[in-house]
Amino acid sequence: MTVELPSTQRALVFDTWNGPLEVRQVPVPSPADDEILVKIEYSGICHSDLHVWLGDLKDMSVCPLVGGHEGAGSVVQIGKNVTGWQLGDKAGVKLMNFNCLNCEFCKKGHEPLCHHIQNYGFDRSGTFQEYLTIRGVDAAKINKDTNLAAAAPILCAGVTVYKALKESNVAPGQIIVLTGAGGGLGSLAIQYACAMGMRVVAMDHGSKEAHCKGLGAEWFVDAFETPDIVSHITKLTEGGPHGVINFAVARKPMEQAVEYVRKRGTVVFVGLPKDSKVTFDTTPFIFNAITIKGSIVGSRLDVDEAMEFVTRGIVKVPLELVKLEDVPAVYQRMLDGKINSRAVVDFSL
Amino acid sequence: MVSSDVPKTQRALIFESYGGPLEIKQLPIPQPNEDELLVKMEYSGICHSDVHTWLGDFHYVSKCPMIGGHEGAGSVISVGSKVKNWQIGDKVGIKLVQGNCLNCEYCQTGHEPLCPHVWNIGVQKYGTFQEYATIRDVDAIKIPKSMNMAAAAPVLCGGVTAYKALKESEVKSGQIVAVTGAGGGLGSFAIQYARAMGMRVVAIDHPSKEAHCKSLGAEWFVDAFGTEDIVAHIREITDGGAHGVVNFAAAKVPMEKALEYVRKRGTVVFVGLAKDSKILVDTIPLIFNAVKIKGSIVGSRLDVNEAMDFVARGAVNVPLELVKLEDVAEVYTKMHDGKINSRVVVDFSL
Repeated sequence: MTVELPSTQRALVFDTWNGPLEVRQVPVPSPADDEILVKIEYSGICHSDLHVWLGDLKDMSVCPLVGGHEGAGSVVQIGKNVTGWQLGDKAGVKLMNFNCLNCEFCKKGHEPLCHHIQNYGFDRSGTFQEYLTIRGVDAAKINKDTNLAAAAPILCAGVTVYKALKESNVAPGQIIVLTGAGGGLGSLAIQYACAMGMRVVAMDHGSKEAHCKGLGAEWFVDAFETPDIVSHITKLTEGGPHGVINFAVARKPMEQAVEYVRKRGTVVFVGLPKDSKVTFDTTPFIFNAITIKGSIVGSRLDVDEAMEFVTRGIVKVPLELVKLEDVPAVYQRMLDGKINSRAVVDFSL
Repeated sequence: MVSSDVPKTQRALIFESYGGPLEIKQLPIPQPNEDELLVKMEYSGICHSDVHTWLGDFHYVSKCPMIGGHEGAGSVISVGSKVKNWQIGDKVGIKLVQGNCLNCEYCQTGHEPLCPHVWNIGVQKYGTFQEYATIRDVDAIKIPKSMNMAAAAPVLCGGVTAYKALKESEVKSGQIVAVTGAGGGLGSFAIQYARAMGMRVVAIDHPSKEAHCKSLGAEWFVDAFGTEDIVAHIREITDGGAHGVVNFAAAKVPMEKALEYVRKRGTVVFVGLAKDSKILVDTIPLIFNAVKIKGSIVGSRLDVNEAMDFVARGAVNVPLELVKLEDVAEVYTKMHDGKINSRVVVDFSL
């Protein structure tokens, strides 16, 4: 089935790590038998897009590359072997695709751990382009009533924070600390945590206090100005938070979290700092029966669950719509810590 | 109620200074409070943590002078006036963690070792290297009458610690667990419990322990010192990494290596207390492989009961070496030199 399509499209390409980001005309791809072609209407911008472009993730990315891995749009072509999709359906293009569906990790639903996956915007062209193909089984169904611009950031950021919150084992009524709470991931995490019944301690730069409180954080802790953050948080939470999710891309907040988390609490590492090696003392770690976990995005089911919170209006995504040409400026603002919401490329601008 | 043949004094193994002489002295026999039992000690297991306490490695929480020992098994000879559910002659276990408040969030959720009110016998209060000891009735562990008391003693700390750590590893039956320090006191228990729980075991230790580990049920043995690239080797034999690793080796390198050979989404459980306790963790592979690291320490009373049951029904059967109270100092030296292949238990009748 075919609708009228242009032969070329705009795509944001870089040829070298940390090199120029240029909008170019490239061919529109044709879907294979098991693929759909999605017209991208919105694409979220992630910190990991920035890291890929900077060359921080060289061993898992390629160059030249079109970045982006939070694409939301509509189906405009369907391969002949695809079932379950119709022209005009709303589809999401997420980071991790090409799951083999056959290894132990796929079978258990831990899809990001599959050895065969390819990452859009990392090792193959991503969603900073107007048309993109994706396997029918990999594409996320987006409810027709969902705001597509709000849906886009859920495909990576939303599911990443949602999955991390599940991994934290924090029960409704218990306290969770979010580091880097005012950033792109943290902003979503505050809302998901509240939606899941958790009480939130937001930790970030002092300039983010109003923003974090506005999203539902019960407490705010200035990560830079608070002397002895460990004892402050321990006191504030009467013994330490039941869980900590670390979005801050720095070593110190990761190490501190292991010190102030409650006995038997869980620290979840999500943020990927350049200086990624942390030190912790195993003796108190053992005596307090603490858990440290790594968490990375989530499965297709996690995406569906995370998306549902947005569809129901429980999680609202503060959006800043930008043009494709604005991505370099957004990256700079990310580096400067000046992003308070989710920046999303609107391809109609 | 009082048994008629209680002597006035007892033998106790006491040290006056950290690392100082371990001497047997005659001490008064304590009297139980109204909520306590007086236990005649028949056996007491010897733990590595007893050595560490004596050496002063836990000086920040331990007291001196001290009577060590925290794996006591014996019988009730006197019962306080408010004690229920205990009779003279009952078999009883005395474990490390005592004094739970039973009221804080940790006690209420069954994570009893984490209660801020607990004290540890053999560390902060006189332990089980003495012929008579008192214990609060709710802290005491019921030991089945038919059970071998010498085998029961080491379950109270070594056994439950190994068992709890295996539960924390989240390794399911049919899956693979790697055990570091596998041939030592805790590791020997862990191999047997893991097998009893249906796990397949990779035992990692010094090659002199290979036969011992295999005889206890390890499916694979890996030489911790002579294996060239231990990470690649373990990944290969387990076809992708162990589903869990329980680390009893009290050293930094095996702790750090475990994070490299554990399977994606696997769990590494730290139990062994390294003197050089700060380790370096690369968070990038931890995140990308969704790996989990946990600390685990002894277990609750329920964990002890469960661990005891495996031994009582013969599913776990760790070799015992019975020694005299006077032999403890020598056992400490052999432990330090890695020369202990089983659980060493003081037999007070020797």
